[in-house]
Amino acid sequence: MAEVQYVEATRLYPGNPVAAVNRLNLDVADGEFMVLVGPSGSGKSTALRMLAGLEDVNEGEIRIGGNDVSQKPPKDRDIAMVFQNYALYPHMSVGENMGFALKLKGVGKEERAAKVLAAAKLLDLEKYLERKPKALSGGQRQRVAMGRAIVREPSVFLMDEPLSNLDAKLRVETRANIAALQARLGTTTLYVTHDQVEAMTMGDRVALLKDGILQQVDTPRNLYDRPGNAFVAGFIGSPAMNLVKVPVSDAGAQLGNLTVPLRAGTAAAVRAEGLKEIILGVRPESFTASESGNGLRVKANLVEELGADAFVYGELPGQKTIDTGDDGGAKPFVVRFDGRIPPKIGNEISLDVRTEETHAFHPDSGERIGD
Amino acid sequence: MSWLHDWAHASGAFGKLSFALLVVIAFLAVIGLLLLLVDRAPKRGQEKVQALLFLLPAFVLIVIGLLGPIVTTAISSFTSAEVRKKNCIKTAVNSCLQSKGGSWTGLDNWRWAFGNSDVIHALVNTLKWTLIAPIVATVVGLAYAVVIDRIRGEAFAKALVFLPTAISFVGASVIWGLMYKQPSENAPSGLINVVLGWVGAGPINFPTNNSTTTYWLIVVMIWIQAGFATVLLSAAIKGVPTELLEAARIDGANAWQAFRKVTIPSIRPTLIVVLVTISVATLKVFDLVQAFGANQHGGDTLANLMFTTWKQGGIAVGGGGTVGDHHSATLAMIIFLLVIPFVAFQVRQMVRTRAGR
Repeated sequence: MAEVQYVEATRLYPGNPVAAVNRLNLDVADGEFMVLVGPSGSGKSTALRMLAGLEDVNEGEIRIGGNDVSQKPPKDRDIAMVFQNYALYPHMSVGENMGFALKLKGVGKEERAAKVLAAAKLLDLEKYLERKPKALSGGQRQRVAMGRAIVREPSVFLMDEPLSNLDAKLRVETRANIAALQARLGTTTLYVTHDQVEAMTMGDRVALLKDGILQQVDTPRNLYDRPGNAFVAGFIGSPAMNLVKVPVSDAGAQLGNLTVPLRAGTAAAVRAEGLKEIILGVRPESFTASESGNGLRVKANLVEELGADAFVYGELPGQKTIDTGDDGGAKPFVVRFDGRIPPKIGNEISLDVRTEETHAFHPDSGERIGD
Repeated sequence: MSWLHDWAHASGAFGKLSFALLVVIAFLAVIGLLLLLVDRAPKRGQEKVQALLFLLPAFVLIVIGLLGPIVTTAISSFTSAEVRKKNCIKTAVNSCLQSKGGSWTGLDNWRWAFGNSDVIHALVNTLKWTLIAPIVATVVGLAYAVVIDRIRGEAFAKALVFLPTAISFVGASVIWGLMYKQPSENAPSGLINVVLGWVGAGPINFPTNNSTTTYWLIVVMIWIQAGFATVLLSAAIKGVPTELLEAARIDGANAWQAFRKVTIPSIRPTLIVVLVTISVATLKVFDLVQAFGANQHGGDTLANLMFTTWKQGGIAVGGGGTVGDHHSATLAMIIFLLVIPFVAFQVRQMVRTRAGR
């Protein structure tokens, strides 16, 4: 059991002036489940591999249990890692795979067998101990990879997209199992994923990275409710938050035909900076069908019915939705509707906005404005 | 058909070219006919007919070129061309042998083989070759492949060590013959003896020292085969997933343990292919021995002995003529029997690998 600290940790690849991980500061408490999330190329995997000792720490340091491990080889860090492709040794049986680390450590045969069996029981793998990884299903292999980590009783678990090779249904099940297992073992865990749903559902806290720079660390709830910048706002949540660059006046932000009043703190900050424009963020579920008919008018180009919900993909006349992802192209304006009363494709809909759920970001820096 | 024979052996350029054209056309006609037959085959079972027809040419060639010779050689090893004239009394000038025909001699040839000190000597030498050359060449090749892995100039380093593999055995013999050369009155010493001279040792008469001749030839074989081993093993090492080695490092393995417990098992199929291929090559080694004239210096091998036996071959039948005693066929069969276990082992490994172990 140990806490993990990244202190100004930086990874520079030779020949590339841009740091893959740029001055990362992150404290992970003892027993915490920390999820590192971000788009591809964000440096989340690199950050994890730096902790594992598979990547050099060029500047700054990484501490496990208060000790700087930056220059130590992986085996002296007391960590265990679950790889994306599981990296099971194909020539060893499940039992041998799980016991390999103990064998290298010189743990006796009987003690080893006992520990492997205990971990196998935990993961429902007892029947497969004699099998080779090839003879296992994807889900079983994933569990063996978990088992190999558990057997070692390390102070930190590292998981690098361990669910990405599973099919959708199994992924949801395994997601819950891993979270439950971690809670039971109470081992500090760093978990890398590109899937924001995994991040939201599994993590005690979530660290969001982009281009090697930490954007925000917080609980899933806070990330969702109070994103620190436009990128975080656009990344967390599915479908993504609508981010629209809109003119702003004393009355509020001009979203389409609707003037959306800003919250007091936000309005004060906008006034203080003398901004004429802001990026207004509204989540798809912050809209309701307008009863008066005088709401925000959006043309429904596409309606996705998911049963409980219906998502309407439309456009705002004269205003473009910003995409904070890497392609930067225009995105449709998305609105969640009750699944029982979906609008018809091609119709214009009228919407009310729950103003207390809107977010305002700086038009240039993308930083959150106000509270 | 004599016109065809004349045409085939025509002396003029036009005649030769036109005959070559005829052969090509005939070949295409046969292929065309085959394809037509395949096309016309009844729809039911057409795939089987197709498979059979396409396998036929290869099958015919294998029978003519491989199975046939094996069978006839096997038969030869139990026969002799030696047939005694009837009612003849053997004298110093009359061996009573007639030059035509053949007869079953049972195990006589085999008894000869295992009772002949030259054969036993060659057999022992061949076993030395098979025990030393494949293992050393593979170990050297593997070590080299590991050392050059992912360094700068890897391709060049690999090409350098692969070059000897591209040289013929006779060419290699000439090169090493020069290196091994002993100083004599009218020729300077070879490189190795020169170097030995610098440190005050030697000169050694490498390939003509009866007790060590075989070993110096094995060195040449290793020099040739190590490059082959390097190229194959290097590719296999690159095929080991990086994640596996990283997992081993995290599991606490040092470089040697990771190599021993993860890399080696992962490249096992390739290791076996390399070992078997070099083993079979050493069982058949002939050119090196022949080019060095090593059979004169206690370095004979089975394959070379087979050749020289065949060359000298036979039993005098008087008047300077000989008939074959088929001893060389027996030697060929001994080599064949020695090769079989290696090939069988490899085939079994291949089947196991394909079945997913």
